[in-house]
Amino acid sequence: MNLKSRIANSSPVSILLLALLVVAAVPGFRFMTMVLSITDEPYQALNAMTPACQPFAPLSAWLIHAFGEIAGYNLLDIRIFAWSWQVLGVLLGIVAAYMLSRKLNLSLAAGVVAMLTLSLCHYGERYAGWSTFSATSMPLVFISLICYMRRPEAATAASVGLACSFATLLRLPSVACIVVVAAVLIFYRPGFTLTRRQRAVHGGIMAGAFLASALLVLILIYGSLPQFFSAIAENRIGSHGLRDMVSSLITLSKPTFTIFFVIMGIAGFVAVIFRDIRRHIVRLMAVVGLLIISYYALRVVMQFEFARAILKVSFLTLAGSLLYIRRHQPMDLLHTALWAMAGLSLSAAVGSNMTLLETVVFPFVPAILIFTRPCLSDNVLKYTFVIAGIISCWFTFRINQRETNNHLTYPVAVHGNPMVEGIEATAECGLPVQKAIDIFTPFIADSAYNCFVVRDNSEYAYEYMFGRRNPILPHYWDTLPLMDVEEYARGVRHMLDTAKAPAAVLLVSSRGSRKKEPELISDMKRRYRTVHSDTTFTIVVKDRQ
Amino acid sequence: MTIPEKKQFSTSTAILSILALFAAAGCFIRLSWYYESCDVPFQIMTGWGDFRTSVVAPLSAWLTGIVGKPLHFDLMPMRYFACTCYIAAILIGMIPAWQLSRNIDFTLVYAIVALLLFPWCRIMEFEYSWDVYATLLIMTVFALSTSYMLRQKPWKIILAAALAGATMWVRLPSAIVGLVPAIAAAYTASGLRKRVIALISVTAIYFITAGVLLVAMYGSADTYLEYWAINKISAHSTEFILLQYGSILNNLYLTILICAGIYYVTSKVLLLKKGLLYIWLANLFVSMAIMIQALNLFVWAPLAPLFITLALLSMLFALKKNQHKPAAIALLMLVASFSATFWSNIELARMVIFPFIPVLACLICSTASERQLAGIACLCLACVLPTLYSAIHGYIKDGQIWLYSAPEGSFVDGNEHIKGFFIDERFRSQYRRVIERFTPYATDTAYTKAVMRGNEHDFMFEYMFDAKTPVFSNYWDHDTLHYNQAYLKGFNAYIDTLRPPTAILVVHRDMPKPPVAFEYENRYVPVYSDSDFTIVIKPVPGNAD
Repeated sequence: MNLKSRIANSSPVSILLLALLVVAAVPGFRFMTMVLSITDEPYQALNAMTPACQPFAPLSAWLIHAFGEIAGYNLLDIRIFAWSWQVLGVLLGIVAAYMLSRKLNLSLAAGVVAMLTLSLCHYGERYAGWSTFSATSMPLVFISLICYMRRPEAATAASVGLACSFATLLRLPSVACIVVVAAVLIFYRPGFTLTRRQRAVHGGIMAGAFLASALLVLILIYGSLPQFFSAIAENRIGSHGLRDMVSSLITLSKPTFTIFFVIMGIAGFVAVIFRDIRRHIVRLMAVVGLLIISYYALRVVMQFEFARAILKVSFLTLAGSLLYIRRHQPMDLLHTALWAMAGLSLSAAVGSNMTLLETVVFPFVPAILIFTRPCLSDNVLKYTFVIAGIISCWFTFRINQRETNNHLTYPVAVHGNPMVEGIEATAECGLPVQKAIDIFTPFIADSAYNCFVVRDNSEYAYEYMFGRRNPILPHYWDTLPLMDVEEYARGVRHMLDTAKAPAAVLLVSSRGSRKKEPELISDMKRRYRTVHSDTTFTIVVKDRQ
Repeated sequence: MTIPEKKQFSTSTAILSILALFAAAGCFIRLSWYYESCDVPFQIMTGWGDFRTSVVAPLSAWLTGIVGKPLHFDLMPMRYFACTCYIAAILIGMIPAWQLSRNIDFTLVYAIVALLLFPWCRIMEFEYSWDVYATLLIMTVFALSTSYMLRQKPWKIILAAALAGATMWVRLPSAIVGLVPAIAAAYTASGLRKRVIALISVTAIYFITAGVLLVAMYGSADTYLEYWAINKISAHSTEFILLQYGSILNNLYLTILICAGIYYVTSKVLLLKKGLLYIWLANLFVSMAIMIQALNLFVWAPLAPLFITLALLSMLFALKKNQHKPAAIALLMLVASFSATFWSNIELARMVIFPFIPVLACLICSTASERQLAGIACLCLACVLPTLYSAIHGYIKDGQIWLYSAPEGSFVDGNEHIKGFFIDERFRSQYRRVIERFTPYATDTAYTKAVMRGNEHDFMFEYMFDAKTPVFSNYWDHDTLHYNQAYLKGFNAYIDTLRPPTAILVVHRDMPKPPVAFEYENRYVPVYSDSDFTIVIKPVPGNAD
């Protein structure tokens, strides 16, 4: 056994890599307190309080609910719980990489890279929500698929069905993963010794396991299927219609295609450098020059909205390039797994109005590094991978660092509310939240008051903090200010008219975007006694007659 | 691919010639529709009075005086003249294309392409400016230098060097076009000694011509320096331009990488089998169109990145084939094109592109393989089509396409200088008001007149009313002059030199009415004031009415 293979399989190296893996996970937990999300995260946590009203992610809501019931609904605790699932996803990714390569140290080393990238370049991933759980479920589907491709038996087929069911229950639109599974079932050829009939049977087993487990969980959560369907009908989420999806897809296409073509431009120049330049020193200078040029070019791109998806686009570009390079090769295990990985990464984003920002990437990093390794003899891929990879990681890291620096430089630790205790925010975000806590907590604390929160957009943080979910349009994500929506204003008026006095109402107006006070707030001021009013917050009290 | 020779005038040549005439006629369409209120009036006004005060373009100022007189310095005739010059530049560009290809039809086809693209993709070429003369001279220098490289006749390089020297006084920064004959001479000479002699000769001719013209215009270098000290244009300092170029280069890196990426992906897609090929080509076009249409980078200089990429590609193809002459010509083309934009504060927008299209086409077609040509064709379409779409889409108003006739009421009557000039809806009312209110004073010889600018966009009002104010007349900084004490002091001193009664127009568009307007209203006789203009009359002393 030569030195290389001895190192590749030695236990001390494995232990060292495991230690590095733990170390790599630390920064992610360290900076967990940073950033107060006032929209998405509290919305998801609110749904978890009453999981029945979140039929689009029933199991996610239930998991957070179960955690909340045991450990409390502090947002930071929920965030750490959800982050652990992200970490678990990367660990599963290492398992998948090992199953594909059968090289433990290589898989662990790739895992260290993935974990470190997740810890340092995790823009948005720190928020607890459906997408957090997809980071675990998708690698699970991937592992079950690899198991099935290796041993196409009834048991492994059932495990694929169960994994898909798990992914779907965590986030319903991720049901798209069954398309990937179906494609694997049809196109994966060499490993199969099965007849067409046997494949059909396995497909049936997968579908059976999927449906049976999904039904069982849904019935356990909702009582019956009709109740689940009625929950879906009653809890449609705003701004997630087909038109919104297409519109956001087009908006996001701008940075996506730009980053894609820039990376391919880098690849083109690398191809020229290695094909046409003979002298090593000139090559080196050209590569360094290209690195600098690419850095400055991508610095321009990073000014675009949503360009923070650079790492995710780079990942998909790499997957696409590998698929292109292997296009003439048969659909063997590795080739099929590569297709499956790209498909599963994307299927986690289906149904989101943030599309590519929601793709699952970090858990698949170990696998893609394994896929890339045999192609690294190709200079074009190797150097493009290095240049684009370094720059992509750097910019995503910078985005996080900038955000973190803001918090470290001017931290506003929100206090006085157990739900958001421990989370630090920027002054811009934290001060209004703190003000709301200061002015409205006395009413919440006084059991004599019947308290309500009325928001003007998707800033769900206030409802969450005060534990007062507004039942009118509880899933509103559209851009039109909510207080201008007639249905909402009518509902609020009715709710307050019928509320038992004394009642305290916190009305939160959209900061900055409005030129004058919303009509609903003016109306509330006319009807009830105003105890506080500024550009953002208004508190009115309905007194006993 | 080699371009077959075709020297005979045939039926196809006749048809192409007629088409070229039509295409050239089409260049004059929509000339009135470009709204511009700073550069054009500023540059036309350099032709009024002492041309020597235009220190960065004295020869252009002198020519403006010569050309402008018969045209009464009116905006539209000057624009038509400028357009004719640009068409002439395209014709000059045909000469090297013909010399390289020896195919008359090929040359005509690409001249037609240039003429067809010109009215839709032009950025600054609609306006009358120094660039008109600079472009003609740059193209002539390039054509002579290229011709010298193909057939070494000394008169060509002597004339090229002399014209390059003249270019210095047509637009000072364009003096770097002197590099073109220098490179041509150095490339053509064999042996180091001959190269040095050629370089010295060209440089000597260049400087002698420049020196002779300087003496002819200013009398001596000292006089020029005196003029320079008083009349240098602001907002073009070395620091500012270098800063500007920093951001331009970043944009340029990005756009070149994108173009390279498009070319690279296209060349790979073209390797696919037929069925997949069409699907992927369609995919590619949609993604490119979304990206380029969405990117503002291409709006300001839509063809510059494409031009640079193609020039670099043609150099690369030529070098790969060991054809050094086409590579050197491509280099000359890049230098010549860039010399037109050098030291401009509006980035790449002033690069000479359209006249180089026939030469570029010739270089590419003679050096690229068929697959490379297909990739380049895709790249060109991908870059040009969205620009054309944007240009056409910009003229679709109120659901009515008005490509060839302006909407009713878009021209403002009452001022001869801007007769036939399309005025944007945003500014129409302003122009109407100022013409209506100030023209009676401006045309009445009993009054002298003065216009106080707020910023560089108000040069138009000095121009419209023949009231060029010699105070801060080369000021291009973006701050408001109304708050600049030196300007106010100078302006007050200037109006004191005018024979009273003096009609003073204070322009304060898109800003709050400045204190100086109130001060003038108190000090003199106010006759009109609104949110954009204030008109006061400085009466004859002792006659307050």
